[in-house]
Amino acid sequence: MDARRSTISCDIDFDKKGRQISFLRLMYPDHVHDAGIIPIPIAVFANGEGPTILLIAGTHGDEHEGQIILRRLLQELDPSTVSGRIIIMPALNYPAVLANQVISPLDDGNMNRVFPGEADGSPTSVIAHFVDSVIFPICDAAIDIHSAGTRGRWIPCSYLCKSKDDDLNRRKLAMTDAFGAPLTVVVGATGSSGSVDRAGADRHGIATISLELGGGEIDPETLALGGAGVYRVLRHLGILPADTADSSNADTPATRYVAFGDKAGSNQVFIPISGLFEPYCTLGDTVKKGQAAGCIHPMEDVTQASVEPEFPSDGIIVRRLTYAFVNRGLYYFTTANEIARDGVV
Amino acid sequence: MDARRSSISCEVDFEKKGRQISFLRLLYSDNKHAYGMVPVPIAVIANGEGPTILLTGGTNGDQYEGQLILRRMIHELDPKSVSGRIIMMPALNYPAVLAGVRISPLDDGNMNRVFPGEASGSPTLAIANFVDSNIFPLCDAVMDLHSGGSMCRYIPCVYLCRVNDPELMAQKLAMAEAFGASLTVVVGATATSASVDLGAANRHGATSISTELGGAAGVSPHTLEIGTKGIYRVLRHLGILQPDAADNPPEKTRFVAFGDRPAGNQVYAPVSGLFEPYCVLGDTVEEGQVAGCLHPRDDPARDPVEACFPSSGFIVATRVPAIVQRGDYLFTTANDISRDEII
Repeated sequence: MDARRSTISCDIDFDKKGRQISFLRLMYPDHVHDAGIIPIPIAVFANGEGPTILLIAGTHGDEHEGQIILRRLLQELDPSTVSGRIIIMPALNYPAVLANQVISPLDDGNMNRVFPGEADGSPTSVIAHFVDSVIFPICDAAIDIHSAGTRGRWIPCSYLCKSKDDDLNRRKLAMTDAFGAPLTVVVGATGSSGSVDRAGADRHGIATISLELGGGEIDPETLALGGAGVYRVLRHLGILPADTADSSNADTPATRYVAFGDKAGSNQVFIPISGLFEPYCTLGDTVKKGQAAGCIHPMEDVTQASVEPEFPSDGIIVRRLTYAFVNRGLYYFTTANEIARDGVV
Repeated sequence: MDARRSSISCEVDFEKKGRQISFLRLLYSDNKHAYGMVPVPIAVIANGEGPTILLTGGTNGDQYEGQLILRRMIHELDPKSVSGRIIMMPALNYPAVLAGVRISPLDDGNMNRVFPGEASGSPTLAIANFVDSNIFPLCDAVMDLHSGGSMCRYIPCVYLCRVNDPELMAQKLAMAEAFGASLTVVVGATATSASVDLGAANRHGATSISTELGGAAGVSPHTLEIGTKGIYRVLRHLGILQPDAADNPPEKTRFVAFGDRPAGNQVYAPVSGLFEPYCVLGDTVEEGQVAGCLHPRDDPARDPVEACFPSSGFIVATRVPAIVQRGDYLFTTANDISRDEII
């Protein structure tokens, strides 16, 4: 049992029609929060009959794209256009969001590693438990929006994490197709790691996809792509009517399916020494095994030889770090390989 | 007098031919450095007769493009190909470079605000003074390589700071054109001589330019290529390297300048929050146009607040981190000027 016990209450009526914008009241009696609550934002838009979707951002606090997209959606959505229910949590790990970091400053909790959480655990674990026990049971679908955070960048992509249930996988695949990211990363059905989708939503039979929407620097193009994709998923599920006038494209862009190799680290460029990294390649490049990925210049002694790490396998660069000052052990580039859509499920 | 006194010695022989890679020995007695010195890297490549140029990177520690380009050049340049002398300091404010931050952790010194420094001042001042008194007097030309650092990204550009001497200004303009960035920002003569660039020009008559090569605490192959090709073209322009027929002629640069109104070219964040930009680098914008909006970080029920451009122009720099404080600038714009207006 964690000594940092906390509890949550919530004044939202999930069965009420219309728009509700409120917050979960997280009680956490430490030095700072003893005389108040930690207000975790939540909004519900419900109307008519139809499925329920949960939209999450701020699972990691320094991933800003989804936080912006959901805050905008929350301002923009007209509840009368909804058939079903949209639950929006734009800052799931709110303490981490306020601190602008991956994990919570209250308990060092990584929200994507603690599901299904604990009813009276530390703050991160309690938020996860509330979602898992109160919200997931009323959901049909969920989207968890990530990015590479402040220090990296992904090609904007959907993450399709396969479950052991092929029916569920087909519903996930239909959602990634509807989202229409340039890239869909398909990840095999491995064990639970406490993530929102595997350890949480999959157990409830909820069709969940994650997104990795850029990172490093916010740009209007990635925000537009993410916003339009979310609207397309809402229409695909019948929660919004097909003719909604919104920012999404009329035609769903085609996605390219990729997967990582099986061997640990075989799709990552490992930084062997600390120093200043000079990249030779960039996002989207097709690379060959043995190709030099860049050059690490030792920081301190300019007479010392530089080191050129290589790509351990052929592939397409889907993720990179964006900063120049690197430490031994980092994975600077991640590559993936194209797979056929038929091979996904 | 600053209590954090330090001093510098240097074993480089600036008159010797060939390649020397060494360091300035900065003596600075604090809790960490009492029994050693801070080795500030320096390289000299000299041969034959010709002008001397100083190339500096790491003037601000979190600006990596210049640091990387110079670290590569130190090893790549063949001394036999040189006519004259190339002095390279790839990590000018070395304590700031090691810390990966803009200003020195030893004395909070911003290297680009302290020239001519002080011989026995705090570390940043002592390094500046060594450069000002021992290196600038040898130099015909100086190039200081900056970028947007952790907080900002620039269109890769040359900064051409005005000086009052028209002859020197003509030489600076020729050097900026030789560099051949797609953009050259012309900055008014109002700035002080406390920067590397203007310190070299105004006190020593050196032909100096600066660059802003990207930013965001990272680098891309593209910005490194722009910087490297530009520096090599400047070295050929000065006659330090031989002309290279294979080198593409520099692209015609677009000259821009900031307006006269204080902060008339910058969008400030009116409130703190999570910044959603509506525009990107290179966009042409109108006065009053919405630049983006600031979402409250705590309560999403509150409306976002919009920030507008105070004047028409062309976006040359943008804020990088999404979390902003009231007062942070979000965009910097500039306006086209004709080449004839420069001198």
